[in-house]
Amino acid sequence: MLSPILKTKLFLPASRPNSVSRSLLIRKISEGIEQGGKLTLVSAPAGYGKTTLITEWLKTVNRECAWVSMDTGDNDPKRFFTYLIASLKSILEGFDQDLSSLIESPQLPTPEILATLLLNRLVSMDSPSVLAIDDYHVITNDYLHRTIEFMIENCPPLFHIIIISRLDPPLPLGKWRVRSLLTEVRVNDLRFSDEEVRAFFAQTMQLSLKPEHIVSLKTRTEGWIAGLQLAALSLRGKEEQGIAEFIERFRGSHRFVIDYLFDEVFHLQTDEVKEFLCSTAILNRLCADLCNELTDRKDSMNILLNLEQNNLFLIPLDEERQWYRYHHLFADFLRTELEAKQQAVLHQKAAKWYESNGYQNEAIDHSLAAGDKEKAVGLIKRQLSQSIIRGDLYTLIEWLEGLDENLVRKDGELCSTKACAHFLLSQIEQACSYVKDFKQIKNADRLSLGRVKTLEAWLANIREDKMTIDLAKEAIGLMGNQDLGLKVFALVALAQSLRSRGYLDRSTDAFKEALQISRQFGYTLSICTVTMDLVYNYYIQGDLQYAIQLCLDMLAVKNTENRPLPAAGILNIPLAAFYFESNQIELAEETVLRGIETSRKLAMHNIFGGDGERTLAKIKSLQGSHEDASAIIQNALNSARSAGLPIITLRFEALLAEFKLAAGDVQWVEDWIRRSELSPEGEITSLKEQSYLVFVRLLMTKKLWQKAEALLARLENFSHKGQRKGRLVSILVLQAILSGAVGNADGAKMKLREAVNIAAPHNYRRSFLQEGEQVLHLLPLVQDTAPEFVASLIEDFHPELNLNHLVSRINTAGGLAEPLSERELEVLKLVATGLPNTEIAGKLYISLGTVKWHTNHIYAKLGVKNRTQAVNKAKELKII
Amino acid sequence: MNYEIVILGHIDKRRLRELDGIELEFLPGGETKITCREFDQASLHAIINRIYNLGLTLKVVKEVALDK
Repeated sequence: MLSPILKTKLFLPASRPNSVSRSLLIRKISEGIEQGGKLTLVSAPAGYGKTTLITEWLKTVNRECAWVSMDTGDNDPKRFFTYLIASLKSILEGFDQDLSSLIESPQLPTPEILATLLLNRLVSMDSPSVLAIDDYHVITNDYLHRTIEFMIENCPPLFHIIIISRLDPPLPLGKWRVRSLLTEVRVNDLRFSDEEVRAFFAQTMQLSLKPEHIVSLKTRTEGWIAGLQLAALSLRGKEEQGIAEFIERFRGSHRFVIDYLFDEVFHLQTDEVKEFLCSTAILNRLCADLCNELTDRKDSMNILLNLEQNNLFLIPLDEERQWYRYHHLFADFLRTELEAKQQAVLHQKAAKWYESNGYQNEAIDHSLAAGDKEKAVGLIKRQLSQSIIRGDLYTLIEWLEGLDENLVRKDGELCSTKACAHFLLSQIEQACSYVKDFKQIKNADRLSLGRVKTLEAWLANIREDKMTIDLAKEAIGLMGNQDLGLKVFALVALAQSLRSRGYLDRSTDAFKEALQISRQFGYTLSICTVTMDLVYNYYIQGDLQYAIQLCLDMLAVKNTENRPLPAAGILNIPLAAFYFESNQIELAEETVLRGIETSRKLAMHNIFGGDGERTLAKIKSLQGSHEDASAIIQNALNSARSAGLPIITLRFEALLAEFKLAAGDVQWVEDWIRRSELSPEGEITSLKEQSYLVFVRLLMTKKLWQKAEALLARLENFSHKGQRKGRLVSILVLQAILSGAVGNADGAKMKLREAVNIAAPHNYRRSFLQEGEQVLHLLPLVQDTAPEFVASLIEDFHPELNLNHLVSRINTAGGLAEPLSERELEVLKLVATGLPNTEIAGKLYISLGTVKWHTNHIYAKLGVKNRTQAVNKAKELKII
Repeated sequence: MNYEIVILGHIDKRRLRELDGIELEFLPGGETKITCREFDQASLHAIINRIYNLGLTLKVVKEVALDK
C-alpha cells in the first residue's frame, strides 16, 4: 500500500480554469497517435507548460490515462515499478496481479522480460489508453531506460506513452523519428504565439492590454509561459499608467526574466505571505499541518488556499487539497531569499514533523538536508532492519551515501547494514569491502556482528566451506530475535550446509524455522524459496509423497485477493523432479516448464542452480531427444561458467557424465573424473553424491567390482548417517546389481529388498528404472516384499511384460542371475545369423529336437515367443 | 581547469550560491559571464545543469587561462 503522500505521485494534475487552449499542439499530439506514433515526448526547460499541455490534451481526447510523476528516489527500480504498476492499475483492473512478487524479487528480470510482462497485460485493454510519465529527467538508471525503451518499441496498438522531461531522455529518438513512432513537442513549439499571449492575458488573467504591450511582453519573455504568468501577476490591479511603466522598465532591464518578475511579484505580497513562502519553500511537498509546524502559525490552510486562488505557483497534488507543491522555478527563487542557516533550521523542523507523522523517509531526507548528521544517523538506524526486510535497498544505500563515508565505515551498525544492502543486491565486492572494514571496528554491537556473520556464512556456503555451519550458528546466536529477515538467510545457509554435510534432520529443522519466520513476516518470496529447499530435504530423506504434497499445498495457497501466490510457481521445479522420480514423465515435463518460466520471470534461475533445467534434460533424454538434452546442458554450463557459479557447473557436469556413460563414452567420463579430481577415497558431500554415483557406474562398467563395492559402501554409509533414505534407494539398487554380477544372489536379493522397502511406500521409481535391464532381471527376486510395487515397476520397463512372465522364466530357466548357458548362447548366435534350425543342428552336431529344446529355453529365459524377438532381445541385452 | 560561461540575462548571484569558486560579471549587452576557477568536469557539468534547471539560456562555454 502506498502512503497518502506517495499516492499524490499518481494524480493527474488539475487543469486551470480559463486556460489558453493550445489547439495546434493538441492536434499535433493527436495526429501523431493517429499516424501510429508510440511515444509523445514533451521536452523543454522548466516553466514552459509541458505538464499543463498534456493535462489539457487528455481532457480533449477520450483516453484513459495512467499518470505518474517521478522524483530522484524513483531511480530505485523497486520504487519505479511500484509506482508504474500502481498507476497502470488505475486504468486496468487487476493490472498488478502476479507482478508484486517481481518487485519483491531480490534481482529483477531483464528489461525485456519485465517490459513484456507489463505489455502482455496491456494487450487485453479494449479502449485507447495512455501512460504519462512526468519529470522523466530525474531518471538516470539505465535499467529503467531500457525497460521503457522496450515497452515503447513493443507498444500494443491501443496504447501510447507520453514522456514529459526537461532533458531529452537517453532513448533511441533518432530511430523512432525516422520510423514516425515519435511525436515531439519541444521548446519552440511550447513558446506562446502572439495570439496565445493575447488570449492568455485576456481570458486567463482577465487583463486587457494594448497590442504593443502584449508584443513587448512576448518578446521579452520569448513566449515563456512562466514569465508571462509572473508578468500578469505583477500587472494585476495596475492602472493603465502603471502598466505602461512596468512594461517599459521590464523591457529595459537586463535582468534574467524570472529573477526580475519574481522580485516584482514577491514584493507585491504582504509580509505575512512573504515569510510564509520563504519558510515553506524548502519543502518538496506541502500540507497545512506541516506548514504550521514550519511557520509557527495555525492558519496555513487558509494561506495555501489563497496562494492557489491567486495563481502563486502553488500546485495541488490531490483533489482533497491536502498536499501541494510549489512550481520548481518559484521554489528555487524563494530558496534564494533565505540564508543557508535559516534553511537548516526549517529542514530540522520538517524532519521533526515528518518523523512524528510516520514519514520516515522524508524525515531522513530533511535531516540530511539540515546537515543534522546525528539525527539522520539515528533515524536511519531505526530504519535499517525494516529496509532490509522490505528490500528498499537502493534507498537505504542512498541514505548511507548521504553520510560521511568514514563515519559509515567506522560505525558498526551502519557498516554492517551497508554490507548487507550491497550483499542483497548481489554487489558482492562492495559487500566484502564493508565486511573487511567492519572487522576493524572494536566493540561492535551484537546485532551488527550477527549481520556480518550472516554474510560470512552465506558467502562460505556458496564456496561449500565447512566454516558455514559455525558462522551461521554464531550469527543466529548473536542476532537473537532481531533482524529476523536476515536471520532467515543465516538459517538457510546453516540448513543448506548441514544438508550438504549429510545432517538431514538438523537441516530440516533449520529450514522449518526459516519458514516459520518468513510466514510471520508474510514474506511470500522467502516462504516459497525456503519451502523449495525443505521439500528437497523430504525427497532426500525418503518422504517423496509428502514432498509432492507440500508443493501442491503451496501452489494452492491463495493471497488476500484470492489469487495463487505468483512466486509459488517456482515450486513446480522440485515438483517436476518428484514427478520424474515417480516416472510420471509427461506430468513432470509440463510442470517443469511452468517452473522454469516462473524462475525466469523472477530472475531467479541462477539461484535455483538449474534444478529445473536438469529435470528437463533428463526428460528429453528419456524421450530420446538427446540433442535437446545436450543443448540444455551446454547452455546451462556456458552460463554457469561465465557467471562463475562452480556449484551449478559441477551439477550439470555430473549429469552430462551420466548421459555420456549411458551412451558408452567411457573415455569422456574417465577424463571428467580426472578433471573433477574425484577419487574413490575423496570426501563425500551431498553436492558430490551424484558425481560419485556416476563414478560407481563407470567402475562397474569396467568390471572393477571391488573398487565399486568399496565406494558404494562409503556412499551407503554417508546416506545412512544422514538419514538420506531417498538417496539410499539408488545406492542399494547399484549394490544389488553389483552383487548379482559377481554371483552373490543372496546379497543382491537383500540389497534390492531394502531398496524396495524404502521406495514402495513413496513410489521412488526412476532410481530403479534408470539402471535398465540389469535391475529388471533382479526384480522378481523381491516380488514378495511389495508385490504390487514390483509388478508395476516391471510394467514400467516393458508394458507388454508382467510379473507372471518373469516368474515363469525364472522357474523354467533356474533364475536370471545365471543367464543363458554356453550351449544356449551358441545356439542363439547361430539363430542370429539367420540359419534355419536344421543347419544349426548340423553345425553343432546335435539333433534338430535338441536345437528346438534349446531355443524353447532361450525364448523362456528371454521372455519372448519367436526367433526374431529372441534375437532383438538378445541384442538389446548385449548378450550377443 | 578554468572555464568561462556566458548566459543570457543578468542573474542574481544567490541563484548559484551553492556552487563554490565562481565569479559573476554582468556584460553590457545583457549577458552574464560566469568564471569558474579550478573546476573539474563534474563541477562544470553541475553548473551547466543548474543553469539549465533555472531556465537560463546558455551562450558560451570555453576553457580559459587565468592568473593564479
